[in-house]
Amino acid sequence: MGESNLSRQEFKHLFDRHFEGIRNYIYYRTGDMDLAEDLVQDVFLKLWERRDSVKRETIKSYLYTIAHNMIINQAKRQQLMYNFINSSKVMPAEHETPDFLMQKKEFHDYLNQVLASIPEPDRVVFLMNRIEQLKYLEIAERLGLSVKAVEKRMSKALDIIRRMIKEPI
Amino acid sequence: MKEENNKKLHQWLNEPGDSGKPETSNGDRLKSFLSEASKLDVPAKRSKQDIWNALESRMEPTAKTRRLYHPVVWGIAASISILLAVYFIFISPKPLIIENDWGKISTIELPDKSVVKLNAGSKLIYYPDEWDKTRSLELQGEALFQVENGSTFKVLTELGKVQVLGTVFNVYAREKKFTVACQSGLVSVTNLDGDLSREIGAGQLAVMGKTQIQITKIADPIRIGSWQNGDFYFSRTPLSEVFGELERQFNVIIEFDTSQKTTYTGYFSNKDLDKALTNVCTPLGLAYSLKEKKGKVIIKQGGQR
Repeated sequence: MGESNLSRQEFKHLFDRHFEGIRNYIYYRTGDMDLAEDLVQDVFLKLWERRDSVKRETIKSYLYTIAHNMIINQAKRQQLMYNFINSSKVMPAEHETPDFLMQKKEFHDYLNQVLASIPEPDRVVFLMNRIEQLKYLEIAERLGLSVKAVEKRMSKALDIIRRMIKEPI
Repeated sequence: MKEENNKKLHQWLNEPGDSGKPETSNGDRLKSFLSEASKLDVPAKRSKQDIWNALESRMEPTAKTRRLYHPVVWGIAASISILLAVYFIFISPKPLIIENDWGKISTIELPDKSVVKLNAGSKLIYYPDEWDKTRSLELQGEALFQVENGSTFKVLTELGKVQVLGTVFNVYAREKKFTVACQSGLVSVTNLDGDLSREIGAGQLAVMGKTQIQITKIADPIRIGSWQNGDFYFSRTPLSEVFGELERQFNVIIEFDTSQKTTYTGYFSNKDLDKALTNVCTPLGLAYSLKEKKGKVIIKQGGQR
């Protein structure tokens, strides 16, 4: 029962379970979806290559560690630009005049900008919580942090946002 | 003051819901920023399936060819190697899928002579070509396993996994319920993340919870997997689960008041729908009407038909 060999099916299960999380994590850090969709494959491929030696108990945080290493190995580091989309599917209402839509678009761009200006470690934690609705404990497990550290990073992100949105939008 | 606010804010961020609305100096703006941020999604371009397919094509085949060193057989070996390589490269392992419709229980013999009884409304997937290497299969629903001794035998479900060496055990993985009952031998039960794991022995039942695996003694171990003979026993089981089993066994649709929190303790056999319904409904003071042609059963309050 101590056998650590990962079967193909188990591997598929792990992929199904962690694909979105890893892809999003890479996007949070790089703002580059093409890169995220390439690297997420490399991350899982690496796990597959090491399937004989992985420790089952730590697979989740191991995946995030591989992703982290692959991100920092990416030489080109450009200015971070997010392009988050709005996932709420609200039917256009009557009051949505061109003006209103314009304002909405501006606000959306502004939102992307503010998010990109949060320092990286705090930003990643903040986005995991907001976009994927993850609890602090889950974030801590994924990133190999304590819950306290996650809370600290969230606080820092909130401080930055507070300061930024004081200025008129 | 700020400390206090932050505490509330963290609570709210950690437990989504409307309770504990954060109040800060520019609270409304911050709150609306936070809730707007939660409506965002990453701009994915490719589907998960698409990426899996690309990944799978990059995965090395799991089986490897063997090397022979004797010079005389080298030529033969080389051609065999090529054939094997061609086989493994072009014919990647294909899964065998066995799916039981409602109303059907089946028996499956695996390559190593282990036997699986698959309950109605359940699905079993495994790779026959890889069976010698990894005794591993996927289950949706319920099945009883009689495992021949050998290497680790794994059952993967969407809710958790089970590992054994050789024993008889029953796995139930439906909706959100994941239980494993062990009739003989030793069984290891693990959740999907791999951070919860317990071993159970003969006559024990493991129930997967969110933070722990609960283990209880089974009062009547002889009844483990009794469903394979068409006998279904329940002990303080939620009504929705019992009706779910009736639906799958008799291939009918049962309409009932789902808000009911009643549980059922008792038995039914899958040989006769009318009798089974009487067994379940009578003690609970429920009435049923049977529209056999339409395959539909309607359950109402009140003991008389």
